[in-house]
Amino acid sequence: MSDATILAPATVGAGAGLGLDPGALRALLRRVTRSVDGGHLEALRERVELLRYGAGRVVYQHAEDRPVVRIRLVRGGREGWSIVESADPNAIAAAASRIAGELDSLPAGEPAPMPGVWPFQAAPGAAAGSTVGAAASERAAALRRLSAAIGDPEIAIGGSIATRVVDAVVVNTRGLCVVERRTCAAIQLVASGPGRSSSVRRIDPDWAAIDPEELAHAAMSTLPGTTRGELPAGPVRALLGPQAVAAFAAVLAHIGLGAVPPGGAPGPLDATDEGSPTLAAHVFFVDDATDPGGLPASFDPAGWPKRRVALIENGRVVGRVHDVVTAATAGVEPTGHTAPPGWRFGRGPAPMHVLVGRGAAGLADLEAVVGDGIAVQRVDYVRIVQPRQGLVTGTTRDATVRIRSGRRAEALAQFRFTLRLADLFAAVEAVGRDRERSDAPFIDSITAPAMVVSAFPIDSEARR
Amino acid sequence: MRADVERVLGLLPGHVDYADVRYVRRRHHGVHVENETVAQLVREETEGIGLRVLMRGQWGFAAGTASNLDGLDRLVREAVAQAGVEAGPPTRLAPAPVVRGSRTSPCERDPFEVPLGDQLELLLAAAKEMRRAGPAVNSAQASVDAYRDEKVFGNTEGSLVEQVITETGAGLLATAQTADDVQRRSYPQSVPRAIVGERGDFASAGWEHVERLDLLTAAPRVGAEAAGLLSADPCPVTTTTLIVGATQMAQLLHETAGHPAELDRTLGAEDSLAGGTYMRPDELGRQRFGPELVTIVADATRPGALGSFGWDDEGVAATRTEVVERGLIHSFLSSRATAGEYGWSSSGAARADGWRRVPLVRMTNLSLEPGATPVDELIGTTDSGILIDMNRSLSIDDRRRSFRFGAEIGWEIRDGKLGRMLRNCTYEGDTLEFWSGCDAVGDAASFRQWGIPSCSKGEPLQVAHIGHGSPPARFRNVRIGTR
Repeated sequence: MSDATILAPATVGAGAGLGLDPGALRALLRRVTRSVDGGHLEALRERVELLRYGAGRVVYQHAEDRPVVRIRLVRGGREGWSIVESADPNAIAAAASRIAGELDSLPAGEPAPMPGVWPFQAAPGAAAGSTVGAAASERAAALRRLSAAIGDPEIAIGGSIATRVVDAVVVNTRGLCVVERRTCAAIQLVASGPGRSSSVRRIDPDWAAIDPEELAHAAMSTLPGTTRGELPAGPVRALLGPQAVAAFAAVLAHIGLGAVPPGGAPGPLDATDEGSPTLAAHVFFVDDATDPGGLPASFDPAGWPKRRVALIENGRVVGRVHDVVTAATAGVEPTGHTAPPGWRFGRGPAPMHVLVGRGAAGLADLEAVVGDGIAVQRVDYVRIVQPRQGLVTGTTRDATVRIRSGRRAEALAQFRFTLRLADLFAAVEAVGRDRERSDAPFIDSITAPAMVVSAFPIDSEARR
Repeated sequence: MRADVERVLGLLPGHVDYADVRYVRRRHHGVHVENETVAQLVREETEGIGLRVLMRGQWGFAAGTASNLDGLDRLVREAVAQAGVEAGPPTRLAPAPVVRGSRTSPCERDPFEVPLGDQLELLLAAAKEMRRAGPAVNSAQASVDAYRDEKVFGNTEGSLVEQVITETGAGLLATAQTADDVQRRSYPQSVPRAIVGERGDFASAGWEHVERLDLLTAAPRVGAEAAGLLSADPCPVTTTTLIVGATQMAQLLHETAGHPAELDRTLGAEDSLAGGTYMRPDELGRQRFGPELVTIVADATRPGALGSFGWDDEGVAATRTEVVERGLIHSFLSSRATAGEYGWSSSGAARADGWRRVPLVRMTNLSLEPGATPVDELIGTTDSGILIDMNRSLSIDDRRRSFRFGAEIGWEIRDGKLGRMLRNCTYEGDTLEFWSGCDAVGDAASFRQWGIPSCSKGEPLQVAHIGHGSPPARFRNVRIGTR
């Protein structure tokens, strides 16, 4: 490692000291594209800080400062990529040189066009100063507040307190230079006693907007009692909490609403011989990276502007997200959904900032709609069994309780489910008004309300 | 690298009780083709330093890429500041011998020196062979990946070790579809999720491992089986005898024995994320996992296996540990930090995903030891049952007791003979009840070592490269289903 850097020297420093130097990146781009037709650099500087706690103690703390540069070079109809985690221009140039040397080994094709200069406008609410400045002492203080607000020595708490700050810059040989800071803060709290637990998670670009006392209250108010009930296998009316809905919606969006489904085969929302799947009329999905209800961003890894895409309206698929290649095939504008090179979850465009439409019902209203059934707080280990059918399996986790006569009653054992996602969202009867942010390894943000479904399939008890 | 590790150790203030420093340089090359196109060409390089400090029993960890004095000094200040912010029950670090040395993993042919053109030629030819099965095979994917980690570890106790680990792997995936069905076949091993690339079987070896996999010979069968599954009968719903094939056994071991044996799960450290475990530290040597013919070992010394190393990321020498010995749960996978809570020694299973992540308790090479039954006899002495192989999906609860696995392929067994091919096979059970029904384990000739580069755990997420060794095994009274 050398002392040369693409980081902005004036802003380097612990905690608040993030920054990339666009001028240095443009100079580096000129240097690495001398022997090729064109190219781009996407540079990220990511700082992740975290405190994980469990069983009454800090399990570990973590601070990570990582520069990432993704280089794309194009020559003679061939394109190559390299990803370098370094701020050293010489290391980046050396990686670019190696990829340039391999270009001739690749088959010629039609490399994706690069975006030209566009009227950049930062996504409102993408970054918050409180998140940038959140120090280890503030995370520790938040843990003390959580613990104090729980106020019950019989209840153990576990989870994590995290902040992430990303500075992103894309420069390319068409003159584009876009720069943005994005922040995210998150607190997860699982409160548990013998045989019962409740999980609450809050995610916000603004660290100051997350209130540890509110999390503690939410966890305790949904912590099941000590009485345990049983439920036979079969379909049951269910209130799915926002985190459970988010988990299902994220998978459905990923395998069903990109222009190219992962694996290349048709997805669960594509038409079959029997026609197009129809979800409940209450179901609306939109991908909107500029909506402050999610985790905003204004451009994708290739530098294309993020556009709002209506995905599902009144239960019907009305749109898909596109990168520049799939957009050209479909005859539409790119929507800013280029997958990063080397992405583990597919090479086609995928929804990354999904918001599920909200309804008007409060929690008590939703419980009343259920009448007799269950409430599922979150789901775990949701895995795709059959992508064409959108068939997934998984288990419930934490506060799974019986609802009797429209009111929460005894706790239930966790259970396994296997369901078709289209069937689940076709069975939606009511939608809550309050939404929560969530995320997954394959989606930056998913914001969802609680929903009541008329039939949630219980396969078998998953844990006694 | 070594000099930077020593510089960081020299910058530590006197009130630090313990610290370790890891300098890691990682290189990853991946090539992934789909049908006749290059789907992904991955060239990744990263290097940096991770510093962990322990002060008054509290951990701090900071990681960065800067190696100038300012950068290293900032790293120290950050880690120390973290450790100083919270007082709680102190971590008790298990003692470990001071170690010094170096190790380079076996590598006959450097995978980074194999020309890209040669790799593409192999993969595109394999994809073409898979598609010979006909138009039903709409996606034929082939990939190779190579990793090289250069690592230096040093701690304040005087340990200093250097390692170079080269890992190489390759795999095939054929997907066949009709209007309402999708079937797939993987070779030689599958991944449980739709991860691009990083597929197949990996070893701590060079390009010679790719050559041993003989992708071109396997490709026509893989394509034909994917297409054939579209018209195969669905798996019956029944309770019967199950033979778990060797590739499926790797996933079964991973989920029902490997993760539950991670000692951090007993401490509540993972309750909110990965979950807990049914294994009880206070019942070691007494808690039954299965019958006496079941012995499961974690062995980081196995030559060429993906989870092998010289020293773990706490500087503890690689060991061989019986997790299950003759049917009884015998020991856990542990780190110095977790073993210390019980007054035990570390099993040498602290592993970090590169320089920027804190070491966690992870699997090394977890294997079901071979039994005495040849595969022919395993099948030949089964009057009625099903053989299931190659994992496709899984579900398991957060205590690792109740599971369901879905497999790519199955075969009916009648009167000791394999019969018709079956699709959409699943099996489920309670971990301990299921393993209690194991009545035969394949012999040494049927044992195969697998390398899986995609085990996820932790926050921020860490991906570990681990090994599983397994023969097939037979289980009685298993609930079989179809999905």
